[in-house]
Amino acid sequence: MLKRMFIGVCLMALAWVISAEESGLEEFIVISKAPKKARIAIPSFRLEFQSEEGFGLGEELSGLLGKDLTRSGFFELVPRPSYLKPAPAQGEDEDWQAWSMLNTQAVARGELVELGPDQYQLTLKLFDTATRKMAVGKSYKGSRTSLRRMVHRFADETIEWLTGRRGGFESRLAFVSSKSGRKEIFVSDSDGFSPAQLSNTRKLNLSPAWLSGSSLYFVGYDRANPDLYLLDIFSKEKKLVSSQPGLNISPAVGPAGKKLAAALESPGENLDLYILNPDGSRPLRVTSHPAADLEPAWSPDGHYLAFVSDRSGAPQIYMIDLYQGAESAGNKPVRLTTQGSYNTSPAWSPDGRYLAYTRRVGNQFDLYLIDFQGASGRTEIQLTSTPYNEEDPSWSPDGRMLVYSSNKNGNYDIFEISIFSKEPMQITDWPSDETQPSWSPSLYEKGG
Amino acid sequence: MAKKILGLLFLVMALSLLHSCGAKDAKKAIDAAQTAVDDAKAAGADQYAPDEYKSAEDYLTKAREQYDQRDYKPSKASALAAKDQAELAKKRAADRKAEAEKAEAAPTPGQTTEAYNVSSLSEQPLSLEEQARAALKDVHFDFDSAELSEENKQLLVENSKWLEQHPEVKLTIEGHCDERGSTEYNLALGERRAKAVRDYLVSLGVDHSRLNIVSFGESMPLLPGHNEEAWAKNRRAHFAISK
Repeated sequence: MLKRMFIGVCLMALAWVISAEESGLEEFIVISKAPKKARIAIPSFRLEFQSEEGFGLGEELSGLLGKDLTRSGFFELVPRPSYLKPAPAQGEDEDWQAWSMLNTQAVARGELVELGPDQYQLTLKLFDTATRKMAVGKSYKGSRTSLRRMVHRFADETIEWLTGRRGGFESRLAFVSSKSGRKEIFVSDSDGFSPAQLSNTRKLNLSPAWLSGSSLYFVGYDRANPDLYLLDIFSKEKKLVSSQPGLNISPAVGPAGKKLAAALESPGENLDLYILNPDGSRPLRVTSHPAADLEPAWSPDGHYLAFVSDRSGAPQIYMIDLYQGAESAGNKPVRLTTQGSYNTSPAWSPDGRYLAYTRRVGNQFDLYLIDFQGASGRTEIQLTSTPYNEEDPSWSPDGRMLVYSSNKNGNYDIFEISIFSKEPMQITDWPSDETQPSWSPSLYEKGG
Repeated sequence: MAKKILGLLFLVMALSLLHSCGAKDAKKAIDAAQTAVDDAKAAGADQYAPDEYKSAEDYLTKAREQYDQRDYKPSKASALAAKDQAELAKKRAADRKAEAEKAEAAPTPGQTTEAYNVSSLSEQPLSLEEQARAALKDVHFDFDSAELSEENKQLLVENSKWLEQHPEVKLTIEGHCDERGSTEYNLALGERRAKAVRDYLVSLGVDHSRLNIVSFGESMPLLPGHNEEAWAKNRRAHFAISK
């Protein structure tokens, strides 16, 4: 009898040890293994130029193509010194055997022709060394300032050829910079190139959020109150969208730009979420709680709104079902974050699978992901883990990367990170603070 | 065969013993951390070193959660971190308390206002704005809090007296935060701080229509530093004369 009890106790102990081991494993779940990288060769572009600047320009553009493809995490460059083969003369075939000996899956060839003053033609071709055929071939014409965009577009198509889903490099970033001494709105290419200051009010300008590839909402203090504006990035004209007394903040653009969500304050009330028409008309109240509700983030199908609320006493992330209407006894927001005492800045991935957010860990901030389709249901993934701050995540149009701000270098700069490789890359490197980045929709899809 | 089974059982027992050992260690560390946190609170750390104290509490909560989930090793690590933070909080609280008492004991307490509140030495009569700047002192807050301390309420009573003497003055109460946390959340927090100050002044008899509020969140710090000293100064409600 005693012996049997002894065995029973031991078995229980064993079961306990096993279950504890299993629960310990959860910490090591990764999103997915980094995809195996395809090796691509990008020889120097063939040039037809009257002037001497051709060589530098050709190198800039072929370098940019390589940089985009490397940034994507899907490609690895075959180093040029290992082949040193000049572009084949027109009509001449590739040396396929040489390429396969270098274990190269793809070759990108470029040809840049100066047609006239500030008129260029860029022809880019991607060859698949397995089939020995051209996989993508494009010819673009335009001015000098449009050359980099041509390369971004071709990079996006090359990524589509490899993965079946278009890349997101032909796009822009907006962010807040204190370069001028005050916080102003800036835009740049997706790689940080050609930054331009858009606002110049010498008052605070915050929280840019793209409506299309050419216009964005932001919070401005022109009238000594935080109000919502819509800004055209080319004409720099802006329209007042919401200017109630008190806070008009947290602009977030819904699917296809048909609705705007924001955090507004009605007189005598606290901060709640509203959904408005793109021009700010017809605000409909979504949440109604005495605590502050803000930072809305749309699910890509427009079904849910994730947001931050401190209704539990500290900021946490919740989600409300918009198909059920506004917050009510029958439609209570569901709390999504259960760990950590300070979770903010939700951003829903374009495919709806992930919600990125910022969590306070001790005295630092890190980026986290909620994976709604994890192998064992909803899973939390820590994306960064550093002794400095990572904040304000915003998704690339293809949902493979996030831009964010980090004070790694003492001041805040804009960085990007692939959610697959988790390798951060610095985008801005100014001595001032750059924060609140927002990644635009793809310019290829949306125009502008 | 029986020997083999017995050997296996022995191994299992040893393993489970080892495991419960981890639990014991973690429990011990949690108890020690709890004592340290209690000590820190007794020393006034929740008031004088709120950030460090909150961090200690957070770690302790985390340690307990991990303990409940039987993650003993991480639990112990969290508990140790909680204890460290609590001890740090206690030490800093003691330092700051001593500093505060020293400042209070200084002969002319009215003159110890912060540098930016000190009016210029010109012989001209002070403008109303300068007078307001000298008289209306900033109200300071704890991290992620818009609650008015007793000290703050005293200060606001003084401010309300000055406002009573200057009925023509209209004020904008600016809510500010330290740099930590999301820009947007800090806008909401700054708004709450400004409102808390306004509502208290109204409760003291100041006319609501004389008091405007605006939140600047974390975007207009008074001090540029990235340490608790700067943060404490930046978590404030500031008074500006409305034009």
